Amino acid sequence: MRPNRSPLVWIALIALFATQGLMSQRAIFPTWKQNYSTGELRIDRGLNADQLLASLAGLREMVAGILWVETDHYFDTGQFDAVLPLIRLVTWLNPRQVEVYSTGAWHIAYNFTDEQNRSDRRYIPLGLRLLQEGVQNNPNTYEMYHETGWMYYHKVDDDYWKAVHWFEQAVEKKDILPALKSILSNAYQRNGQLDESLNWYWTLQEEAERQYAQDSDIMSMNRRDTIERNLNNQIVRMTQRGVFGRRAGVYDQYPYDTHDPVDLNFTFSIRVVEPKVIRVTGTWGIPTTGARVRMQLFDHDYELKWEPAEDLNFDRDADRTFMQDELYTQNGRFDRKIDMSRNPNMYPFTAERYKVVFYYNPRSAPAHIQDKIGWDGEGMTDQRYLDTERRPGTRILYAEIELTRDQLLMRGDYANGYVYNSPGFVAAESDTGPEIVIPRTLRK
Amino acid sequence: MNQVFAIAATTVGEAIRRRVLLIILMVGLAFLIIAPSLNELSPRGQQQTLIDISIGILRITAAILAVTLTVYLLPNEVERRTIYTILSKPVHRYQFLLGKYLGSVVALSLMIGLMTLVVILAFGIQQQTWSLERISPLIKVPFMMIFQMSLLAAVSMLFSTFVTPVINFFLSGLVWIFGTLINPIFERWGAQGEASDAVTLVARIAHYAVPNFSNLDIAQGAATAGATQIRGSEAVHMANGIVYAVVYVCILLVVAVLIFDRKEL
Repeated sequence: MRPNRSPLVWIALIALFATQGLMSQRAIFPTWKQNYSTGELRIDRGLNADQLLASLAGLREMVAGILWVETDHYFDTGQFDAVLPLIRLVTWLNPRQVEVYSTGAWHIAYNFTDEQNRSDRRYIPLGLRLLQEGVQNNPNTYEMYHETGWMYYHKVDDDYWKAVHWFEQAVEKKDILPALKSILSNAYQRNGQLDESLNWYWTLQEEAERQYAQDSDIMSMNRRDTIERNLNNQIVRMTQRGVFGRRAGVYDQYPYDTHDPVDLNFTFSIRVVEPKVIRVTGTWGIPTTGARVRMQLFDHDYELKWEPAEDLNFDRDADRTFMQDELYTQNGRFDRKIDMSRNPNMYPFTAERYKVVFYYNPRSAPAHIQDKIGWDGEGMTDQRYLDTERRPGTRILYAEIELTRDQLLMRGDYANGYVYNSPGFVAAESDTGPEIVIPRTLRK
Repeated sequence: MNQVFAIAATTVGEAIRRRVLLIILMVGLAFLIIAPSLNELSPRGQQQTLIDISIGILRITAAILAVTLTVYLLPNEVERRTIYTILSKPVHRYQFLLGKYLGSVVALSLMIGLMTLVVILAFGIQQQTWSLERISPLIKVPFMMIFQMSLLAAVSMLFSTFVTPVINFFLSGLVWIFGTLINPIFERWGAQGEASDAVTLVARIAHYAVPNFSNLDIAQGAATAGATQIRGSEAVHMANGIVYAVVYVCILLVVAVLIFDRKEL
C-alpha cells in the first residue's frame, strides 16, 4: 500500500516543525538559561571516561553527587590537594549545589595551613572567587551572599565594608534564617556604621516582636529576647563609649570609658632563632586577655589583594611568601615562636627583602577591649606607632620594619642569628609576671 | 480510535509480560546500596546528593527502558509476522504505529511512576521525612521525565521504521546524548555570538532541529533549594516543555507514518 499523502500533511508537518523550533528558542531557552543552565559546557575537563559518558548522557547532577561523596572522603582522610579539582568539577557539573560552594570556599580559605595551623592566606582570593561564582549561579538564595560576607568578616577580618555589602544582600533574600540576620549589625559596627547597626537591631526587634505575637513558641521567644539583649547592649555601649555624648557636644564633661586614652606603648622584638624560625616578643598597654595583634611577614613588593581572582584555577602566588599570625597577648605581653621552615610551599622565601607588619585595628577588637579603646580607637594612643591615615576615621596601631632574606635564613653576616628590637623594647625578665587572677570566689 | 487503543493495550500487556517491571526492583536496590554510603556527608549534603543520584538512576533506567521498549516494537511484529494479521483487519498502518507508540508510552509512564514511588518511599524512610517541600524534586523531575522519555521513544519509533534494532539502539542513544547537550551547545556557540558565523549557524540549526531533551530537564538545582532558586515561573517553563514535547512527538510520528506507509513489508 503506497498512499499519496495530501499536501496538507506536509504543510502541517512544516508548521509543527516551525512551532517547536520557535518554542524551543524563544519560549523555553531563555528560562532554561536563567534557571537550569550550568554556565558553560566544561564537562570534558578532568572527568574520566565513564564519568564523561554519564555526564554526556544527561546525568551531570548524578556524577556531581558521586564526585561530592568522593570529595568528602578525600577531605576526611586529609588529602586536601585532591579536594580542590574535585570541587571545581562538582561546581561545573552542578552549579546549583550551594553546599559545594560554601564548603569548598571554607576549605580553600581555612584548611590549607602550615604546621602551626596558620592558614595560607594566598588562597583567600580563590575562596572568594568560588563564592562569587556561587552567587552568580545561585542569586536567589541567601546562602552564597551570607558566606561571602562571612569570609570578609571573619577570615579577611579587615575590609568590613565588603562584609556589609554582602550581608546587606543576604538579608534581602526570603529564605534567610532569622538567626543569621543579626550578623549584619556586627558588620555595621566593625565598619564604623554605628547608627546603621542600631537601626538594624531595631528592625530585627520589631520583626521578632511580630513573629512572637503570631507564634508564641519558645524559639520565637528566645529570638526576641536575644535581639532585645543585643539591642540593649548596643545602646549601652554607644552611651558608655561616648558616641551620643560626642554628638551632643558634652563628651568632655562626663567620664566616658574612652576618656584618657590608654598608651599602648607598643614595643616588639624579632629574633631569628633558626633559619626561617623567628621568635616574636613584645609589650603593649592592654593588660586584659583576648586581644590579638596581627603580624604579617611578606615579600617587600608583594601586595596580597583579597579581591577575587578573575578566574578560579587554584593557582595561588606560589613563589611569594605571605605569613600572617595573630599574636595572642596576655598580661600586656606577647611571645610567639613562628616556624616557617617546615612548609617551603607556603613560605618559599624567594625575595631578597621582607616586610614585617604589626597591626591592630580597634574595629576588630572584642567588646571588653572596645569598651576602653572605643570603636575607632579614640581611647588608645601610641607615641610611635599610632596611625590615623591607613584607615581613615580609625586610629590603628601600625608598625612596619624590613628584614632581609639573609637575616631570615641566617646566611652570611647573620649566620649566628639576628635580632631586631624596636625602640623602647625591654626584654621581660621572666615569662611569668604579674598576672591578673580572677579570685576563686568569683569562679563557678 | 478503538483500533489504536486496542493495539496500545496489547502493547502494554506485552511489556508487562516481558517482566521489564522487574527493573523497578533494581532501582530500589540501587537506592538501598547507595544511601548508606552517603552517611559521611552533612545531613543537607546527604539529602541533596541522594536526590541527585536517585534522579540520575531514574533517568538512566527510564532512558534505557524507553529505547528498549520501542526498538523492537515494529521489527518483532514483522519477524513474527503478526503484523500481517493485524493489517489484514480494518486497521491502517498509521493506527498500528500510533497504537504501538501509545502503548509503549503508557508502559513507560507506568514504570517511571512506579520507580518514582519506590524512590520516594525509600527516600522518606531513609531520611525520616515526608515533607512535600523536600520530596517535591522527586515528583516534579520524574513527571517531566515522562515527557522526555516519550520524546525519546518517538525518536526510537521513527528509527525503527527504517533501521535494524541494534542500529536503532545506538542511533537513539546518540540523539539522546546530543539532545541533552543541545541547550548548552546553543548557549555556548549559538546564542552568545562567541563563535564564527558558520559555527553559530550550525549551532542554531541544530538547536532548531534536534529533539531537545534538555528543554524537559528540570533536575539542575532541583535538589538544592527548590523554588527559591527559580527565577520566573517554573510551572510556565514546565508547561512550555510539555507542549514542546507533544509537538515534537507529533512531528516524529507523522514522519514515521509517512515512512512506514511506503515500507514494503
